[in-house]
Amino acid sequence: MSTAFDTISRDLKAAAPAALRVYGVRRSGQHAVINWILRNCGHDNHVFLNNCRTGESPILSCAQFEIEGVRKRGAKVLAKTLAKRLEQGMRPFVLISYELGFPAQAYAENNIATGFENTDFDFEVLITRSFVNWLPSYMRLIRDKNNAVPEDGIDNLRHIMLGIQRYKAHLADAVTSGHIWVSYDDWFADPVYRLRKLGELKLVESDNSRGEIQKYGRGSSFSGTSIPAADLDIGARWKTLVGDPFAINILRQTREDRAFMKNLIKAHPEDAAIIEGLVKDE
Amino acid sequence: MADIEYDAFCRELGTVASGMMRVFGIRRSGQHAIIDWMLRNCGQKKSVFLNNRRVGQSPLRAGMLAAKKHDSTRNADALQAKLARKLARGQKPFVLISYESGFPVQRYPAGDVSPGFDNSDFDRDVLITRRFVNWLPSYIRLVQAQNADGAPEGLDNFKKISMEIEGYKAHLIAANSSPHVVISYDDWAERPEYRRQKLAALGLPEVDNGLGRVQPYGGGSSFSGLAKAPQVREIAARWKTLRDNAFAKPFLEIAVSDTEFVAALDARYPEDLKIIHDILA
Repeated sequence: MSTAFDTISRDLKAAAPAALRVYGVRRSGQHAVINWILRNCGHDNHVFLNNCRTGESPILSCAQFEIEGVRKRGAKVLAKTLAKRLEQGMRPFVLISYELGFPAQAYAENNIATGFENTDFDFEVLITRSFVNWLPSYMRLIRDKNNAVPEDGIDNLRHIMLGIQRYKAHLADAVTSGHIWVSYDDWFADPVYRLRKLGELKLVESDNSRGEIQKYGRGSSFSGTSIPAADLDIGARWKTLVGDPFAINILRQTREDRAFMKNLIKAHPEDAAIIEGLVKDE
Repeated sequence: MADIEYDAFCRELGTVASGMMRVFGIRRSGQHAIIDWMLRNCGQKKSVFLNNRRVGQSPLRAGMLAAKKHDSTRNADALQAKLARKLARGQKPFVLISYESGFPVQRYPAGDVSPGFDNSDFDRDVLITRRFVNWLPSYIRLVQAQNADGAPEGLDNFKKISMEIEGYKAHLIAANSSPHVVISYDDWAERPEYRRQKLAALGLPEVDNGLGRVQPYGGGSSFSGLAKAPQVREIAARWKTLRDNAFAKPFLEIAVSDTEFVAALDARYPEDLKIIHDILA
């Protein structure tokens, strides 16, 4: 079975005019950025393998895939469709995404994706988001997912701290690894920033808008959020943390972590003052 | 099952053993002091103590955190050979197996906590708990000592402690409704009469009901400062250090906002809640 997937990987690589990998942690605007990359990829066809598992075949492990604009799930369906379309001469732009942050060790060992090498990809793209705006979004995700336990309790604290640990490691890689780094906040706020990033990605501007809200990664609990991207106040999410003792306790700890704060100030300089303000007001 | 090669020997050990018990706790709960006391009172000349095993894996295999120095037979084959020689000489040892990741609520009913043994092979399963206000400063100190190079107040330690508090909560809830023998380390350390009662509950004779010496297990080189013999008084009053421990406060605040945890703590250690509220006031 895995041999069959390796054959498809090989055929896909051979056919693809360009290939990218995108990394982020959940609730970082990853799908908005990916949608914009695909709109500007400069090819009629693309294959997008979403939320893959590190160290495995992306064809086998992706949570969903998008091929010729149609979203589906299931490795067998993907393999069958790919085999058929590649045989018919499709030459798709390939984008593979990971949602647990940049796997620095697997990258160093050239072991991120079975059937692919690091050198098969034109770019590795790391997406980060302002911590003070990411945290409320991530907290909401965890609280909604685990609604059987107390909202501000010990179990959710553990889940959120695991997410923060991933955020921290990913942030460090984004600011130091030398790969392409996209700040979701800057991307969202500034069309010129988006243009510059298209340049870094060697893509030609075709549609530089932010696009519609993406359906990936929401889960049913976020069904209320399918609104145009322009209406999202994504830079002010931190205001929901005012007076939330659970969040303030976490922010207090964040402030004490010097290695983290150093990278955060480099990536999202406004965060430090916002954190200070939130902690002081409490 | 990956460890099937050890099952036959485990069954033999289970048949020959003069007594078999399992102990479940989480780290920094006084587990090794209590185990040492159990072994001193097991009523047998020979005992086999398998420390810090992994749930669902043959007890002949060493757990992840097995202390190097004291578990010289980490290799399961070597351990099996060594035990086989003892059994061949006619030994009928008392066998004690310990787990440090809390009571395995999910796995216990399936009976495969200790492959090669059934739940019914054990005369007693024992759950050890410790007062939260005494446990938390002890665990924080352990984590900070282990990560002496990292930022002691940083996110990494905060995450580690968050994880263990979740383990504490799950274990406490399991203990509160457990049909097994539950021993509170704080009461055990303070009251000889409590220890005597628990020996009776364990079906063990009283040979030496003292507290014994501080155990080297679970220490390890990184926190040699922790291996000094604590006075009982200190064990039971660790909570006093919480007042000046700024790092502990967020955990206390989150703990008391967790209604499930508050109910569980109130059921077993109601005085802890009063102390926490006093500290936070």
